[in-house]
Amino acid sequence: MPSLLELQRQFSEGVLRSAGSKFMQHIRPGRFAPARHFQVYRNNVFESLTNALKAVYPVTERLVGDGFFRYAAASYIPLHRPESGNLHDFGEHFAGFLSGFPPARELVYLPDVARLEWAMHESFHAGVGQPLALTTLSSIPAEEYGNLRFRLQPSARLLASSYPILRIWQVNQPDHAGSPDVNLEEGGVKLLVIRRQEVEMRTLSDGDYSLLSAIDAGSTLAQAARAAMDAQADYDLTGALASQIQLGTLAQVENEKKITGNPVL
Amino acid sequence: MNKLNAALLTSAITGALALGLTATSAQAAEKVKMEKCYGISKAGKNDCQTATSACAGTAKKDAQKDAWIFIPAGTCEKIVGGQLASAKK
Amino acid sequence: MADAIMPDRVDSPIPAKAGIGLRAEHYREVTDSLPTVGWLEVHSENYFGDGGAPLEYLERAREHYPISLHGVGLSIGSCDPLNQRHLAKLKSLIQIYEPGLVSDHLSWSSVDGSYLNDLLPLPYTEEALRHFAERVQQAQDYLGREILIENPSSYLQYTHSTIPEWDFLDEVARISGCGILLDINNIHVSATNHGYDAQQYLRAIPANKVREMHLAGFTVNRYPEGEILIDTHNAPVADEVWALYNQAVKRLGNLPTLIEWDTDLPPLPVLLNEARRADEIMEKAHALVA
Repeated sequence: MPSLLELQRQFSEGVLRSAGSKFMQHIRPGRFAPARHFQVYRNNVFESLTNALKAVYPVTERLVGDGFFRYAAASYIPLHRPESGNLHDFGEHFAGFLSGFPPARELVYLPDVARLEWAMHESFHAGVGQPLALTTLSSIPAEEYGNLRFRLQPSARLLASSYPILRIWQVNQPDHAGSPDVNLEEGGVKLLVIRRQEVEMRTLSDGDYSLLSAIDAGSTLAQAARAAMDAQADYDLTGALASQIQLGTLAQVENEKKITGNPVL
Repeated sequence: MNKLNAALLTSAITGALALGLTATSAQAAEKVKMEKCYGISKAGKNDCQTATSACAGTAKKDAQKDAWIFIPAGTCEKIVGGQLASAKK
Repeated sequence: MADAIMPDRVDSPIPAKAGIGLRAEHYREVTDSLPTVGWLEVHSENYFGDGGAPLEYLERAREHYPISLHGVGLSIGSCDPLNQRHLAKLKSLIQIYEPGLVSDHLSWSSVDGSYLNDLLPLPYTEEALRHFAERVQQAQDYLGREILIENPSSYLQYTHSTIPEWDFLDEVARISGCGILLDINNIHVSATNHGYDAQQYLRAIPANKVREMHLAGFTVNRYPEGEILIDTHNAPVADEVWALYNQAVKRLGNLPTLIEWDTDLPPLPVLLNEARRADEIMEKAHALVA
């Protein structure tokens, strides 16, 4: 008789690796052979984990079709087993997995589409930071501007792709009426994913992307502004700051170590 | 931070504040186009039911091993220019 | 968050009436139309995020209905240490939403830190009983309240199980002090799959420990050797299960009773009709007793 721990290990391996023969001896033959009893669990685990991936990656699924998606999911699941009792945490590594998945090699844009879908998923469940208020900013002496460190909203995610992943995402929405054709020569895109009323995607200029990426990485405003202007010579920093404050992308501001904005809720 | 940069930041933040305080920053914000929303029905994957697929409970194993599965067959067929893109990557 | 003034809400206790599961597809309709139903149940893990629509809708729903938090992922039967992050999230939800009942399953779902995210069967042995009861106690101590343990649907039995499920559940409740969430559909599904008597199950359950019942629909998978019932929560409650529920109500009294429907979700009125049917059974049984 196996210990409870040994039984659980054998069960898990039997589900994920099909190495079920050792486990079958612990199943009481009932109205069916042990393998059929066990198969209910095996199918259910793969089915519910696959459905969890489909819920996060609907566009990825649509691009490759149900059969291929299931095949990819069945390969992904044993390699990246869930580490949480909350299914919303599952699927984080799917984009990276797809980029090394030989059968998907031709679909060079697919990992970036999956990355976008994971960013939306994370944004959907993220917390809310108090938006930066103009009064907060106006209370800071001008000589300290260069050392300001902003933070982005917890729901903000930045993405850059060499492929038109926004167009690909749009034409693969169930309610999209136009042509599903996309030409990859259209080129890449830089995006901000953020949740306000709902999760939104916004295209970013090269300068905006560099500015926000630098801020997100913890750079000072002076460093971020330099990165933005390096990326885009005609960058309008004034307009960009006004826009991102208006959008609520900037959550709070730190001057040196001192937090002068409102704390994140 | 050099002086040029300091002057630029001062004017940028002062300018952003002015835009915000005169409520014209909405115009600036509109330059950043909102592309698409994402609805609430995505939420809620944690359930306690046993899956409903036709294969749930069947002893027929690994339908996903059928050969046709290895080839993507979705709307990816509508995406062209792939060879160029391969080279770019 | 902790200092926030609680918005106006109905009281926490779950009435001895029928409730329905609140699912994302019905968030808007339920919180806009506020249908007449005794209470709502949600899956705790769906509210483990830091913010966003699920939590906002749950708060709106909570203002008008008592809420029960039903967990699927605590993995109480696992040999891993109880997941502290999971428990902390659950405790935080309990503090914020003040649920009338908190429950999870007589099952396990993880080993060596990796999860299968399914309600997997335990062997009913002395070892598993001690282990499970101790873990329920740990969870209750941490959460500072009673939890309910639900009998799962099962599709296999172990050769080394020595204790009937109903006795196992009874003992878990006795040792740990937890309550029982009796899923009538799961009794029917498991009894059919394993060829035991659902009536016997029902008679053996200690009436004073049952705090809630579940009702749901199942699917029949047919094979040359026979049928397996699958607990799919995608259909109306079956006639056999209504009959068993009727007996349960007579034996256990009127209890909070949930209509569980998770996939192929019907329009809200269909759910509410199922709930009404459960209420009628309770009203009728109550009238007979009185």
